[in-house]
Amino acid sequence: MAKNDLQGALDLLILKTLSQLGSMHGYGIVLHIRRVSEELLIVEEGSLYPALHRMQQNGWVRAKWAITDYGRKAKWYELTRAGREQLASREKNWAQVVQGVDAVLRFA
Amino acid sequence: MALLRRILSLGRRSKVEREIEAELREHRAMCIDDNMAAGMSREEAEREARKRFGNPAAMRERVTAEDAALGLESLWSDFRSAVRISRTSPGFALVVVATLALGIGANTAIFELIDAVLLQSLPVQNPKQLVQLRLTEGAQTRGNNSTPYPAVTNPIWEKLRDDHEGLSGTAAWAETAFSRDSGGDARFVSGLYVSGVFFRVLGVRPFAGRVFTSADDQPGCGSPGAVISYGFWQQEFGGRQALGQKLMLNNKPVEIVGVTPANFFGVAVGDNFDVAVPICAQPWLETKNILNASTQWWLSVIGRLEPGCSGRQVAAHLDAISPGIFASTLRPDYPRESIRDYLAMKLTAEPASSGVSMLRETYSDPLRFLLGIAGLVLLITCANLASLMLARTAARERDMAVRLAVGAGRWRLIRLVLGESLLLSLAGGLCGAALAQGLSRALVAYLHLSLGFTLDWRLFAFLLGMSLLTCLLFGLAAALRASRTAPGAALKTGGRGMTASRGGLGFRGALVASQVALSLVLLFSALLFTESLRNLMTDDLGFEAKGVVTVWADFSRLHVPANRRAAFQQELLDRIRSTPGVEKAASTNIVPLGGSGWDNTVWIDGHDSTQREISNFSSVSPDYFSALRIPIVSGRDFSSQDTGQSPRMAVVNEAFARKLGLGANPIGARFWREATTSYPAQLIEIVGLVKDTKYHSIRRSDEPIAYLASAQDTDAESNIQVLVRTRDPLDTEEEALRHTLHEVSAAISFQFGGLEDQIQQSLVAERLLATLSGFFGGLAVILAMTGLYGVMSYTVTERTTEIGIRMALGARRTSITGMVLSKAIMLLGIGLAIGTGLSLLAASAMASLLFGLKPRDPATLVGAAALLAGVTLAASLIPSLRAANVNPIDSLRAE
Repeated sequence: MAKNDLQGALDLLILKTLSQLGSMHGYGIVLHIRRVSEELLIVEEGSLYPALHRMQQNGWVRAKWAITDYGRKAKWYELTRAGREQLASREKNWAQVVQGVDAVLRFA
Repeated sequence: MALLRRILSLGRRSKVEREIEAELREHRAMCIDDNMAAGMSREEAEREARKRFGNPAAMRERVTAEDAALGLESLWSDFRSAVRISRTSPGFALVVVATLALGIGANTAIFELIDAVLLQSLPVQNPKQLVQLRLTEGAQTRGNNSTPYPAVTNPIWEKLRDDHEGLSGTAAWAETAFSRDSGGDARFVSGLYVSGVFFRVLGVRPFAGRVFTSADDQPGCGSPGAVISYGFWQQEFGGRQALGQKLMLNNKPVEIVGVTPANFFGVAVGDNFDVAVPICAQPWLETKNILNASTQWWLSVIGRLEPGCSGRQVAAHLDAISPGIFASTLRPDYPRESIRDYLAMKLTAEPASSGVSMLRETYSDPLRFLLGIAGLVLLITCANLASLMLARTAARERDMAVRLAVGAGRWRLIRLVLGESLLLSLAGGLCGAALAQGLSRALVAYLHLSLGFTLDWRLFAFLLGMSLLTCLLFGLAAALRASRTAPGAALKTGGRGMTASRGGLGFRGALVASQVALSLVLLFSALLFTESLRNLMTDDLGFEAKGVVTVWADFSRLHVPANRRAAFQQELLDRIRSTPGVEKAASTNIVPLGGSGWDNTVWIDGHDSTQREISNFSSVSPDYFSALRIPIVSGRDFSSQDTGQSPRMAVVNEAFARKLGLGANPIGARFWREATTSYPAQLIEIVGLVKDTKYHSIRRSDEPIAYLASAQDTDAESNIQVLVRTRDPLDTEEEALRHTLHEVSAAISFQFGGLEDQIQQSLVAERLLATLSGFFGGLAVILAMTGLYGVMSYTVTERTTEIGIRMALGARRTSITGMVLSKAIMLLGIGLAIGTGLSLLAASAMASLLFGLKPRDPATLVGAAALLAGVTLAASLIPSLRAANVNPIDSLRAE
């Protein structure tokens, strides 16, 4: 059974976003997820920042201050090696969760 | 890694917080930018962004919580805020720390004492393997028992030394005192007679020099060498070279051959030895050779079990060889009448891993009881602190509600309150530990013990556990309550509501009631012990100890020949009688209640010697009865005309006459005293009858005593014991007597004491119980008082509005007071009812410690309850009266 259940989904989304975009600030992550999921998933700021800071404490992401395209100063996050490993294992877990949930739903 | 990073980020909190704030601000700004780009006005864009974002302070708090070292940093800040809070209300902190320190300190001190007396093993190799070899319980030995410990004679010990199946070795020891002075005030060192392999069996290696071997302990060893203790070495030689030096013991030079390690105090817990010599040196160091006597019970025997052997096997073996041992050790000095009893005696073995101890027998029950009492005090302390904390939390409810409303987590609030109680209980624990050191030292000094306290991990764990437990007990209830407060409700009710909420007070009420109940138990037992002590102290001893000096004088250095000793004793007594201030003086070999005793079997002349009774004896000079003010009922005192040539005579007490069925006038009756070591059986005529007096202990009454005339003794020793009734203060008299004795000869050594003091000293365990339980009882009452006062004044504050309304509607002041007071009376009533039940339970455990009153003494219980009720009601009267003085206008306007 996958240990990281549905609640780990937010971490997975953030990690995946960063792996796809390379480096991004919090606001950008929210926008990206919203756009890619076609408005199906809206990450709340109240959950995003605690999660980002927790990941930073765990050493999965690192951050630096830089200027955005529109001239604003922002804190940019990018994956570390530990973060990429974490993402790999989370993706595998997620696949198992989906498979498991699917199996339950299909049970007749 | 993550943890390391968290620790590294400690102390950078403000920087981290600024950064988070900047990040979130920028996020909002980008959001606003986008909204405006989508066509919103600036106001609309900002409102929309704020709505999405929620409470910025709460948000920042949540992000910070992730950053700030998962509690490490905030724990520190909780701690700091606790210190800050404590500094703003030092009174509260002081009360909490002081009560905790008292509770924890008292518990630790008594635990330390119990640990030293009851629990600790001997500081020797594998103490678990040690067994004590002794006579079975109830063996009727005749002769001289010179030790408080189970003992055998030297002939029996020699058998045990040679046949020790199941034991890898056996060893014998006896406590003694060696004189170290050469006249004047007597000085003694604590001595040990030990068998050759004593140290080897215990596994004690020398600190310096060597310890004895079996070669040192051979018959006729003469001057054998001495092994001294580390403490004595430090005290006498200041740690300088002592090996090869000569010590004067009983006026004989003995060479020091070794020093024992610092932690070795001997085998008897509570005693310390200074000098040990082999058993074979006894005839050389003392005037009387007791090595071949079967009436001298002085050697205690321990053995070490062989691996794989159990104590039970050894006991069974001893049981089997007992007949052989006793048959082969019977010497001609044993009283003929008791030979059958002697041959029927049995030996056995019992565990001795923690040594033997008189302390254990004397103090084990009182100490256990005191630990129980101290534990109760700690419980009361906790209950008191819990209600104090609750009251404080209630007062801060509004503060808590505000914190909750602006986004503090519940866990954070719990930690805040817990941090405060943790701080207070640690401070209390530390103060308690310091207090315990002083207290236990004072206790040991009070009991005249020599005990070493080692601060070991068990004690440390005990202390730490104690502090944390109290912290949890009194902090958690308050913390949970604080976190459960609904912020809206707390803010709405504001300062005070219309009526008191039932729930909170119910719990506080239960705390106070249980405090009252426990206090009653403590107060009751304190009163019982005090009363018992008073009974013991005022019990009619049958003689008057006040104003009597005991004099012990040793003149062995003068080498008075045996046939002149009685005359020399008489001369000393006459000189003492003519000393200024002396009213009466008499010599005796037994000082009543002095710890020593002498008993023999007696029977009435003409009756068969099988109808025997045991009686106590004293050998006294004329004037003994007038010196102690013992009334003579009929007949006469001894006189100077009674000599060794006249027929044997005795003065007996009424208990003696009763026990032997001699009726009201026993004068002229004759009885036999059994044959002893020094005399054949003697026929003795009764010449006087005196009132009963105590002999062994105040707790025993009706002890039969036969007084013999010391002038008729033929084997006078070279020392004398005199009881002097004086008109002067005892100090002055002692100085005068010192002068007198010195005048007779500078070689006489002597010792003085007050008879009353000596008797008081024998009550030290009882006094300890009464003093400490009285102290704890008083403490408990004060705590109960403050507890009830606190709850009542809290209630009054809480119900001020209600009281105001009642008064505005016409309630009288007296009925308001009554209303508040009835609540206190109800709590008190419940507490007293429960306490009475508990007291009666506790009383049955106390029975053996009491004297002269029943453990369930109803008068004492009623007295304790009344005292407690009176004091606590007085305490709750103040808030009740304050309730009646509430100004209705003010209280309503404040709403």
